[in-house]
Amino acid sequence: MAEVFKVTDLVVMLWVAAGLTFVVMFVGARLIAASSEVNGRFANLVDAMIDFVRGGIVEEFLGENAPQWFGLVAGIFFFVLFCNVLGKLPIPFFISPTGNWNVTGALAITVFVIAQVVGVYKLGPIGYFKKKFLLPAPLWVQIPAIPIMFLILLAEPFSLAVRLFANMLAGHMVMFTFATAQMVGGLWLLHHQNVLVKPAAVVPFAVSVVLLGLEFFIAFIQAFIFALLSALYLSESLEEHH
Amino acid sequence: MDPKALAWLGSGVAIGFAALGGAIGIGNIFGRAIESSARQPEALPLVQRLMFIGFALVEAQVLYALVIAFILIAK
Repeated sequence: MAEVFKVTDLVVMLWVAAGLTFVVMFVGARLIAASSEVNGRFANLVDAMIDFVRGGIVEEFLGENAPQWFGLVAGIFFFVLFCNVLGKLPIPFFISPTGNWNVTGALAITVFVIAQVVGVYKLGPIGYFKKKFLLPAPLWVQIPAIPIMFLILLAEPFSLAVRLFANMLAGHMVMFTFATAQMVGGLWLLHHQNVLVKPAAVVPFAVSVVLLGLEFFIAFIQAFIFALLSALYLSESLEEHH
Repeated sequence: MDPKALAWLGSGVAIGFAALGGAIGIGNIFGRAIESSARQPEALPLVQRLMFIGFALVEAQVLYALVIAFILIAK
């Protein structure tokens, strides 16, 4: 049992991300509820982000079902956002929990299972089958297309997981490569014997700084895309077949 | 040829083609976004939203190939 439930640094980072999400949202909500007229900067920031998630993601895709599912989609967005951003901070212990395909796979499978269960519950088994597996096409096209639609259904959580994982991993690997590569990396140039070569180490490190900025941008974008596609897959399970 | 050498070669080819396709796709998306928002500046918020969504989806394809390249190197 001990080797399965080991507390690695990944697990600690997940706890930190979850705790940070909870604390930020709790404090933000308390500050917003405290006064109706003027809020501080932090409360306004939290309010703006929540409004963005509600208007841009939930209302856009879920329509009339929006109030029920806002909690799930907003929770996914903020948790993935904090997970992504935590790994980009230049603090030695911090890594992105979402840079591990187990974590992103677990999130994607959770969203997938929720969407399918809600689909079967709301549309009924026959309606669910018709929505997910049958194309609006003649019968002789529909029957061979059923395995293809099944593969498309399976590709949805897979793509969700791999997209987030690969984006986070690629950022780290590129910065690592710029630091440690053999002939053009910052550390190799820095520890070269020839003193004239050493100042050239500024270039890879400057590129690493620019890439860190890009990685923060990518962290926000990928959290937004994960939440958006989760809301999209949920909305596909909630609407009737048209 | 040595399988290890073929694996390294394969990973290079994989990410090469993926970068090519990804660059074409991203250039296409941003070019169309710029052109359409220059034609109709009122559409800029909508176009900007769709531009970010399209960028992430195209980037995802490139990164699938990157994952395959890493798997090839690791084996």
